[in-house]
Amino acid sequence: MRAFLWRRGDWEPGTTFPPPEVADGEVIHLIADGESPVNALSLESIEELERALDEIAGETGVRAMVISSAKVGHFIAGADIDEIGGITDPEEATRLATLAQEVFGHLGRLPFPSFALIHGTCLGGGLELALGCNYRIAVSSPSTKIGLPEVNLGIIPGFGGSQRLPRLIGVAKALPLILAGSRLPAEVALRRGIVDAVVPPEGALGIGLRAVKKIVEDGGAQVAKQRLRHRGGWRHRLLEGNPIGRALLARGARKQVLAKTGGHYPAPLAAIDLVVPAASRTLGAGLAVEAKVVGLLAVGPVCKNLVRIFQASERARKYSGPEEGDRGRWPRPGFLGVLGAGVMGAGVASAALDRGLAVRLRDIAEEPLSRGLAQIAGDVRQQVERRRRSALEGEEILSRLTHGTEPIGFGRCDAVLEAIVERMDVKQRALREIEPQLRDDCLFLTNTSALSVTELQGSAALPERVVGLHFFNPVSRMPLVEVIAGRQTAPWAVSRTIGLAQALGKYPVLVQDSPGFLVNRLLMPYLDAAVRLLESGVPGPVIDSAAKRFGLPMGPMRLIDEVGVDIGVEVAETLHAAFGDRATPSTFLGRLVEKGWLGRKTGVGFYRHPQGKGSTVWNEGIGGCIDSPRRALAEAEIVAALIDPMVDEAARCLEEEVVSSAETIDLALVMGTGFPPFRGGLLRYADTTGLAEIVARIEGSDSERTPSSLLAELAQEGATFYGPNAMTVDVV
Amino acid sequence: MASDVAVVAGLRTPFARAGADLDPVPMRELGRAVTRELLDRTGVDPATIDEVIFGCAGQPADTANPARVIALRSGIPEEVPAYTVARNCASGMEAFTQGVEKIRSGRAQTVLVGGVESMSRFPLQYPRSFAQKSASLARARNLAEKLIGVLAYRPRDFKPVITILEGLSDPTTGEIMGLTAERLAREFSISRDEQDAYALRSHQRAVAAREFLAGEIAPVAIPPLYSERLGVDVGPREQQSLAALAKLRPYFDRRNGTVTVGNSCPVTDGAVALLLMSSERAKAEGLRPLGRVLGHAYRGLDPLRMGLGPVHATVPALKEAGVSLADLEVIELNEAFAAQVIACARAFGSKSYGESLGLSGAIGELDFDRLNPNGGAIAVGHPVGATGARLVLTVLRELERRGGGLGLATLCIGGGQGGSVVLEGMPS
Repeated sequence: MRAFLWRRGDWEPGTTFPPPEVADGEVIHLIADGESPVNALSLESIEELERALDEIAGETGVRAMVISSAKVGHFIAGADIDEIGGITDPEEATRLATLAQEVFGHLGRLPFPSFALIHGTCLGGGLELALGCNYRIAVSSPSTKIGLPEVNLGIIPGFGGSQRLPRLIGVAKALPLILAGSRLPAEVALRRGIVDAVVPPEGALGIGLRAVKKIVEDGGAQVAKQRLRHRGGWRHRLLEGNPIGRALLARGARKQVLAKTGGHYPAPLAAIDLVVPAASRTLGAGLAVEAKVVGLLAVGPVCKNLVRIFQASERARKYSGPEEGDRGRWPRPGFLGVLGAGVMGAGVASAALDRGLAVRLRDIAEEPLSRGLAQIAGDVRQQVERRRRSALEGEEILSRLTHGTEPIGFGRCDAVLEAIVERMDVKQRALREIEPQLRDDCLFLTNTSALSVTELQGSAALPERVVGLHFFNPVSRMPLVEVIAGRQTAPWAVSRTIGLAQALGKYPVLVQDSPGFLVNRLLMPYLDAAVRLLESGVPGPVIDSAAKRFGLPMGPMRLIDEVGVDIGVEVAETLHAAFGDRATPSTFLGRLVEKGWLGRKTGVGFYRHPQGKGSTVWNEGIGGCIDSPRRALAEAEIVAALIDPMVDEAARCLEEEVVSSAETIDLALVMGTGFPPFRGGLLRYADTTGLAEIVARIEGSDSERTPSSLLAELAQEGATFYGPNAMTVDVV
Repeated sequence: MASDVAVVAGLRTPFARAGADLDPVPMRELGRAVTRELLDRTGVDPATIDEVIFGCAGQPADTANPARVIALRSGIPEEVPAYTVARNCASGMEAFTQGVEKIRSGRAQTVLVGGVESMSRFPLQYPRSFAQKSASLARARNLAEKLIGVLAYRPRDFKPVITILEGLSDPTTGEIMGLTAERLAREFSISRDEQDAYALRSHQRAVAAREFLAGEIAPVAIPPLYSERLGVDVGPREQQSLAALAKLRPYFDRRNGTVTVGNSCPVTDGAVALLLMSSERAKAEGLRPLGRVLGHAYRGLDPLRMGLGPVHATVPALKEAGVSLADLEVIELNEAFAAQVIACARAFGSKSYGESLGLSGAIGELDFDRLNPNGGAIAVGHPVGATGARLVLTVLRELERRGGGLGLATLCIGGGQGGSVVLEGMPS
């Protein structure tokens, strides 16, 4: 079977296409119709394109060639990620890049002009192919997304993109697009000069062909003028038109990248080095360097880790759960009821409204309900103010919201989520109160972070519909949700909940109903380790900055402040009760609670959080609570002390089948806590560090924790979490 | 056989004086909020609705066909058609009776009807002369023509037309509604004291009924902040007194008048939605109706005596229903003006007025105990396009509380008409 198919001809019959003014055979239509549903580019498909071009180049009477896609929603979504992930030899990657550069270059050197008609995703290799064409026409539809997101996968645009884009639109415009990996809609791509024309989606082929004809007839003069405008001007000459300007440009970009990545990611820096001189050296020279650099990056550990996390996230995004039939499908857009208008409830409501769902929000009292509504309206207003939504779109979003203080009006809901206080009896009462009016296929979801879903099911008339759906705060920014099946939860209910999470744009991970579920359970030993380091005399800011330099978005003390010190104590006690000695929490947090230092919400915790402007500073009062003399500890030792207990706890989660695989744990920590993705996740990192060392360190420490049997076993055998015998289990 | 029409459920927004609490809420949002809440509470699948009809007297330029906008914003599928009706003060009642007729004729099984008005949002207009001069200025081709165009403006061209005043005036005679009430006060010799006493009663009853009325109100979140919800009518005043009312000067006829802003209804914002079904459909859906429709009618009369419209329309409506005035447990007669309500009461009881309508004698006595038992528009307010539907809702809820019986919803209509609906309530 052929992996990719470049189809010739067949203008759609029965449509107005081709328009009468275009003679038969004048315009060759090449259709990308690969085996991959998104037209992902593989080595094979590029070779095939080469053969097709050789054939076409010899034809006579041809005035233009148009490349389009047969896939709905996709032009060419990019290079085959699995292929990139599998490359181990830099030479091989360089060879592939060189081939693609040549074939795409051939597109622009045919005896007649070539056009890419872009409808749907045109990313990475897809855009690089289009950049090889002489002209690009984009279809203005919501599915059209144009960009070069390679740096997000630890590589650079390696099929000519890092050279051809800056040559087309200028370095100053190309660089931010490549560094951010932005995905532009058709109209924006036109404004930036990446495409030369935009056509409407209805009858796009026909109208596109008219645009082709116009360009062919004037020999591209109009487009050439247009492109000059994008590159010209005094700013251009001042900046990228001379070596000093270019050096400035590179320095600014480098500074920004380092501030954002801490230097952990080589790809953006490599991109700067490639893109900035692109317009001032020959294309051939630039392409040669590009191919070489992409080869090196593609086999580097950062690229491998980012690709793995991406693949895991794609699996989570597409996972349908245990019930694949209609019953297990979330009815999009859907109607979500939310009980409790606190920060969490309103946050979920807001995210749901943003994603097109209808929402009914209930709180038992007027005041918290209004506060929740104000939070939602504030989110929408912000979107409108930032021009991400029009005023009418904002009105439409809020028009899907209803609200009330009475337990009525949930009869049409597809799911009701409770986000009320973390008390079993209160949650049980809410369930019993609301359940009689629910349809039989309506889910009852609990956003608990610690209580047992199975226990809650005891109060349900239809326990099979009760599922845990644990969001993280702030809902709009945290991409992870934990889906928790209780003992009596039906497979259809699990699948529907997963579908809902996906409809909300989240990555669901399936977790067993056990204390702390996954993420909180893993975070607690990490936070406790940080507090114990502090108590032993290591200064708090030093601990936090070690964690940040490791790649975490914030240090553990800062995280406790954000979550709330009292909440931290509460969760730690729950987990202590569940897991015994190894989870005995330090009493230190309790002393902060006594002082009323609860973190950001009270303005003081480990840090002082000034209201409004002013930066957060370490709370010097903490020093007075510490008896040990100040001591210095190497950064690596701090990191090890923080991470090791997490690794052990993660091993226990695997042992107890809390989650199905090491991959799930890694994805959950990256998406739920910001664990540095370039490290590939917690267990990938542990594998890299060496499990034997981790075991030795845990055994050598004075904590109550002893290595779990799985961890000890793996270490003993010299094995890894991701080894050939890595375990995978069914959670449901 | 004609289908029996059941009123399945109804809700309204709180009513608030124009320019006050609901001023920030656009008309379509008032209609949307109440419609979605009604759909949520009934649990009816919006796809089963056959038609959406809303009454609106002053349709804003940015919301042509408000019913369609409200339907789409309420999540009612695109396939369900919607239209807007206007019969001045009876626009909401007209929407209701059209829904009734659609079901009676078998053309529809489920109809969502209602009324909506944001009198806060009645625009100020540029005068016609301004528009004409601006148009010719826009056509000017050279500097001289432009200069001439600019110089053509006169101060009066910039004086705004207050459309709400235009809307509240009779279009054929130019007389503002308040003056038609003054005419009835003179003709039926209704004193200022009588009017003020009636107005006070309206406030007292509405205040006493706050809790009861809350049951028909869907709270509205106030944009842009959404930081508060309005769940009660703003109009009814606990502190209202005869002394306070007596202090007010006549508003429409400063010299000889008796009609004040205290004994008239205020201009108001608000919306109402009602769900109608054929009895069979309601039964199939397992819904317990609030009541059913026995008859309805509209009649025209002298525009300058438009306040007597309820008398004219009630006679044929009662006849269609086959009942008499005395059979009615509850009557909601819209309080446009206290003078106009009292005039109606006198006309109902008048032998000669009855004879002038071709009857053998008086229509019947209007029992003030059964009239507007929860207060009326003087206290609650009168969002013109919404009121007709509000009267139906309030009658049915009051009948439900009393354990059933017959009721009447009727109002006078600017331009010289009256509308009446006879209803049968169901016990809860």
